[in-house]
Amino acid sequence: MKEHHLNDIQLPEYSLRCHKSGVTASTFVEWPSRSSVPILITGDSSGLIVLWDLIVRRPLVTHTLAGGAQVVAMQDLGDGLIAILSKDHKLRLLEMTAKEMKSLAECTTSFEAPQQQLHEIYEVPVNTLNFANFVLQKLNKGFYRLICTNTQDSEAIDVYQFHLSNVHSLQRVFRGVTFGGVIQKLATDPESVKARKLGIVMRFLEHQETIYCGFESGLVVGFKIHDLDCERTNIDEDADRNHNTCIEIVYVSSVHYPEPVLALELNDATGEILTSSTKDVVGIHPPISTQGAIGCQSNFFHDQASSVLIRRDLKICGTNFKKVPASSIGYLAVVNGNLVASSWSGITYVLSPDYRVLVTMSKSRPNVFVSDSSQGSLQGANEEKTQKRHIKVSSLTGISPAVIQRFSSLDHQLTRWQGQNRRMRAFAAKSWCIIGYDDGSIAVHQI
Amino acid sequence: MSNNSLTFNELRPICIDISRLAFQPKEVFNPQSLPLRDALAKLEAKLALYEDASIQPNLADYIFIPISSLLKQESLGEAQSSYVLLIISHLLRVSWRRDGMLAEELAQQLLPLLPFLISRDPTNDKLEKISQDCKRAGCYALYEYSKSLAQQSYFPQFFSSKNSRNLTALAHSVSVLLTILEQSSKDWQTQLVILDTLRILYCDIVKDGEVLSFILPGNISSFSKVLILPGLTTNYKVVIKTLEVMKYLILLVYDDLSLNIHDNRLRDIKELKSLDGLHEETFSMEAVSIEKPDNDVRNTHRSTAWLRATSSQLRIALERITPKLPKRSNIEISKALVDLASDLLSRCAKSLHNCERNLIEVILHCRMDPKLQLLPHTACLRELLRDELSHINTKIQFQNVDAIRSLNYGLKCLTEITSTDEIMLVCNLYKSALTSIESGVETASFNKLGRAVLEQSSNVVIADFSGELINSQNLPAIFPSVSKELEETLRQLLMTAGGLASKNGQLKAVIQALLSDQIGQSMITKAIALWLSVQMILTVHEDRSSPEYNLLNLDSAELDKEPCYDILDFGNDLAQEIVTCTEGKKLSRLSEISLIVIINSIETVCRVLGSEFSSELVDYLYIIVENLASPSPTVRQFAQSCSLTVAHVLYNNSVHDMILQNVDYLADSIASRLNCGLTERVSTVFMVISKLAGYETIECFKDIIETFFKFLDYYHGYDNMCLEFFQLFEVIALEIQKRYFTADATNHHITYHSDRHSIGSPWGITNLQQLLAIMDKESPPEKDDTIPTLEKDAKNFQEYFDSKLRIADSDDEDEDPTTNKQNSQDENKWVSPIPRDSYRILLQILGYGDRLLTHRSKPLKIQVLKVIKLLIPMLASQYNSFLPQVAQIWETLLFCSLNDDPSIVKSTCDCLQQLILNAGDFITTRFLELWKTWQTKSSLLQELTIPNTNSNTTIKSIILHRKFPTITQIALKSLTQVLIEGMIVSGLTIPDNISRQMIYCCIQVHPWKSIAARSMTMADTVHAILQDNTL
Repeated sequence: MKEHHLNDIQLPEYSLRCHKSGVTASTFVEWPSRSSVPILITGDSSGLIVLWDLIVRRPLVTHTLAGGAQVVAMQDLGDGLIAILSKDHKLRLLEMTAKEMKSLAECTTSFEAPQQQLHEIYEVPVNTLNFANFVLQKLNKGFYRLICTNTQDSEAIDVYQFHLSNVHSLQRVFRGVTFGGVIQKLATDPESVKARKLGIVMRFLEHQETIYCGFESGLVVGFKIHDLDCERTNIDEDADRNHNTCIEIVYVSSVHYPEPVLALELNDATGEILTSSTKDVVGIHPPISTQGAIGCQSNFFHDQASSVLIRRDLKICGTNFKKVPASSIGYLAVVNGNLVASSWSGITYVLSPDYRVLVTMSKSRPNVFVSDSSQGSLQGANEEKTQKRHIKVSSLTGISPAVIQRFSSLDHQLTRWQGQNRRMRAFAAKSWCIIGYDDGSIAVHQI
Repeated sequence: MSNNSLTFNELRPICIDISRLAFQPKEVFNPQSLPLRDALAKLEAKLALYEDASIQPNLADYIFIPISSLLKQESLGEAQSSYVLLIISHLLRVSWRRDGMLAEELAQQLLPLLPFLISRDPTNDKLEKISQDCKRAGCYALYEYSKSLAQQSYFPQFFSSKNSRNLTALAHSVSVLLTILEQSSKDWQTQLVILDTLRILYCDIVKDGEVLSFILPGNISSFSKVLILPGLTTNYKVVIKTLEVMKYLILLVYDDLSLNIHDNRLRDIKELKSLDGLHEETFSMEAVSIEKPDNDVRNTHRSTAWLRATSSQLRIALERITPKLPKRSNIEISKALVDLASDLLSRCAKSLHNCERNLIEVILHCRMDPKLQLLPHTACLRELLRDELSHINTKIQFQNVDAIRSLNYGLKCLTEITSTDEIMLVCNLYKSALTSIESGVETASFNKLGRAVLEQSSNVVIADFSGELINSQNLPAIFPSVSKELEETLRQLLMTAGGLASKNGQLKAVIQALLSDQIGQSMITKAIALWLSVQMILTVHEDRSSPEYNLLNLDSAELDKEPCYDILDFGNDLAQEIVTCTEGKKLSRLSEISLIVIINSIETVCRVLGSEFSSELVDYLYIIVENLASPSPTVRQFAQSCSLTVAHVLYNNSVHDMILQNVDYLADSIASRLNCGLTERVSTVFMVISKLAGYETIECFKDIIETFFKFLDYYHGYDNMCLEFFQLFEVIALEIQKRYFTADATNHHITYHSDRHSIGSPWGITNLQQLLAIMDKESPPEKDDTIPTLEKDAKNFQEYFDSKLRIADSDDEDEDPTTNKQNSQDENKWVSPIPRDSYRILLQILGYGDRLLTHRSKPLKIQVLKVIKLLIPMLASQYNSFLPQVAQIWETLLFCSLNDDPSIVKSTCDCLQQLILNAGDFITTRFLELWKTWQTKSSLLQELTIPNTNSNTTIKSIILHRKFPTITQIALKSLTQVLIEGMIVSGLTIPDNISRQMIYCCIQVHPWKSIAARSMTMADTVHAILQDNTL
């Protein structure tokens, strides 16, 4: 009876079930000082956030966002702190104390997770009338820098700075930055790139202080924020900071033009940045060679309005991509050198470093179609076509063995039972890919 | 008058009587004389009354005078001799007892005389013919004699080697005594007297090993003859005493110290080095030798050669005796035997080194070591255990529980005393036990080859078994070839073996090695290996619960629990193997045994691990819970015991909590089973957790419910599986009902009805055609669903992107999207108390039910109909979404209602009734069509209608024209109920004549009053019919 089901689709090692609506964001966190177990954090479209113990396979904490707004993106800030962006136009910083973590780890004998509120320690209003995530950079002395879409214009970027200790410390460093104008000045070959509008911001990603930004027009722009006066970090005193900070575009790629950038991910094995779009390619963006500080202004084009600089000799790359077996890859992850790509069709592919398909994973729907529409399925023939055969993937996270290795280190062993140690070791020895589905289930696959 | 003279006066006449006969000349003396016998008897009786040492020696001498003269006669009758012997024994007792009272000459005379009196034959050959009375008397006499002799001051020289006459007499006496001992198996008192006599002679009087060494072989041979008599022939007191005397005798003769034994055996390799040049000599040498001091010139009997010869004979004797005696299971005998063995081991270790093994065996068999003799003989013990453990298969085969217990005792002792690595021992035991149990199980199951495990109903409800508490003690034996007692004994033995391995820190390695050896072996071999391993780890548990453990306050981390996890892993793999190979088949006997072993191992490990086991539930709870619904009653029993143990250890004895708090684990196990294509019992377990956890929790498991649907896509041909699934869906639907639909459900229902009836049809239309006309005009539904109201309504970019594409596609359409949207929003406004997602699950169940109604299986059909009936009121709570479903399911139900089977018709009509009740006038047209169809095709309805029913002419009866079986009657009731409900909702849309026909059908089944009470129109018709009928 097996063969119909298997169809060479890899089955999950196990599934995590607690969400009742689609899992829209997930991230694996490393808080070695707080928790002896690997933790996965997931958020769903009804604002429920769950911290999972991946060894016990149970929720440690469940937290519901006020108003039940859909979780859009989340970022681990380390040491018990997470940032969560939700559809109610808010970025929240939530914290969990070490003591709470400890007490939680001991009560995992029951399925019922304690409904415990995480402590909300900061809140920033962010425009979520788009689909973009955000980037939070940790600066010196407890300062954070937030890069997100502009409050009014989803095509522009805002940069903020704030300090956790002070609710009023939020300062907008850059407002409504757009790159279209300055990129246009580059004398580059692809005519198509000349479009002034880059479209709405799709994804942000930070790697080695460079912030990558994928646009609806398919352009991928990498930029750095230069703090010219490094001594003066206290922004409160800084009246005319725009003179001292500037944005330098260090990378532009038009590989996906004119299709929107859907996913932006770092390949930690090679240092490359990977992007996907609605076409069946994955764009590959090489690591950026570190350039010196901004010297002679004449080497740059300068956009006075938004203090954006760009080297005159910067080349727009447009040819570096690999063909992949599926189009519309909405989520990318790199696990142990292998690329995991989830397509909008609901199928997730694991690709080897040379882009061969190793395995596919998906969740199919039952054949009998139901409709709760008042018109019934009299015209169902049409509707059935639109109904996808597979359940949509709504989040993707990869865990490489190297990442969890530290959890199996010796200093944690004594605090746990032998059986747990065993499970921990077994878990740490493998690579994992965690897929959140639209039906609320989270499939944990071993790669 | 003194006591003495009183006595004298009493005895004198009797003595005179005897003298008269005794002093007769030889020619006239009749040895068989009865007067003599009587006189002697009289004297004996008199003397017997006197207390010990109460008669003066002179009086005794006086009494002895006639006796001695009797003895000088040439012969004496047997009875007379007996009395003489008794009298002598009395004299020895009452007078010649204390030191100096028994003159040495008298003693010298008596010694040969007493055996002579018993039998004049010097070879003891005729002793057998002598009466038992006489023998007994002789024994008493010898007993009293030796007692008195032991009191005399001259006794140490009495049997010295110079006094050879005495020695000869002694030898004869002893041989007589031994012969009588052998012959008196029915007279245990005499035997005891003999043994006492011998003991006094050897221990109190002779005491010289050299002297006794001459008579030792005879003694040993007689003793063994007594001891090895079959069964209970020999009285246990005799056995004990024999062993005691034998012990003293051997100790006196073979004592290491007095023999000055030198042990030549190599104890250490270093000794060999020092004897480097003497190789040849070393190996030709005796193991032990008797060293004589150089100055001792005496030619002693006990030489090295003697030792070699006698010790081997002694060993043979011991080998014959020792295995027999413990079988009598008499604690006293065992004690005596162990006493013998221990003393021999401690004092004759060198001289009797050849008996060491035998003696150790004795200690093991009796399972006691009061003198701690196993410690100095560890080497021998180890060797013995090694041999025995590797031959444990025969013991298991013959169910020799005692032998295994003894082994366990030995192994326990070894564990306590040894400090060396004994892993081989454990491994041998393991392997030997494995093969023997395996062959036993195979034979046993081969014999019962035809016997398949009794299949139970798949619908075993497992939530309620708290009543029948299962004690693990009462569980049946696991292996058919191993009795419960043997199982318990083996358990103990393996536990000890585990303790031994654990002491050396090797338990983990041993278990790992043994389990990994099983790769590729058969299922039952693996199961047995698992069972053996589990018993070994029990030792970890025992250690912890022992008082010593508490005393030492050992940290639990120090206990190596690693093997527990290996065992769990192994059991898990095995369970997977069984599940895969039994899927869709009947449970074989071997699989059943293996499952029991697995469940039992989980239970044991849980007990050992305690609260630590909670981290393992994720993998193992499902195996337990699943088998609570096993088709095999034995498996169920073990699973119950196991779940109670887990509940006891982790959940405060609540099985309910155990399941409830782990529904996530169970659900995930179900999901992975389903993903692998395994359906057996999966739905049952899901049913149980649904019932226990309620819908709130089940909502998280939507994806699993979907998996069940997917199964129906592929395997709708398997009616049993479909039936099980629909039983599950029924539970899920009930849970949804419970969660969302209880309190305010009725209100809800009522508002809907009142809406429809008071205001009229929702869109101002009255029939289906109008509805269809409206729907045809509307734009395709997918457009309504997907046109985004605002950008922010799209959950993610994918939806946004897709919708953009669709807008582009639909640009050419004329419809005004906003009004359309408005319209559809109103209709699709969610009003049901059931959330949309759950509602869709119900729809899905309905959809699959609709499909499966075409299935041939009757039970499945009825189950599906039952579920559909349950779904209808819930689906109706979202009225707008409900109507399309009504339209869809109607035809299928109509088809089912035409079935020939009344029970299917009944269920179908119940559904139709619900449908009409909830859908209201929406179905009016359909209802009229249904009537037409029924009239022509329903065999059941035709029972009620009379041919040519043409208005009011032919109606004759308002009762059933014939008696129907109950099931048909019930079906008729349901059928007519549909008509009644249909008439109510359709109201005046039904033409009068049709209405009349319908009511005529109903009136035959239902009381007319109840029908008339439903509506005015119906009441009119009812009365019209009644009137016609009475006319």
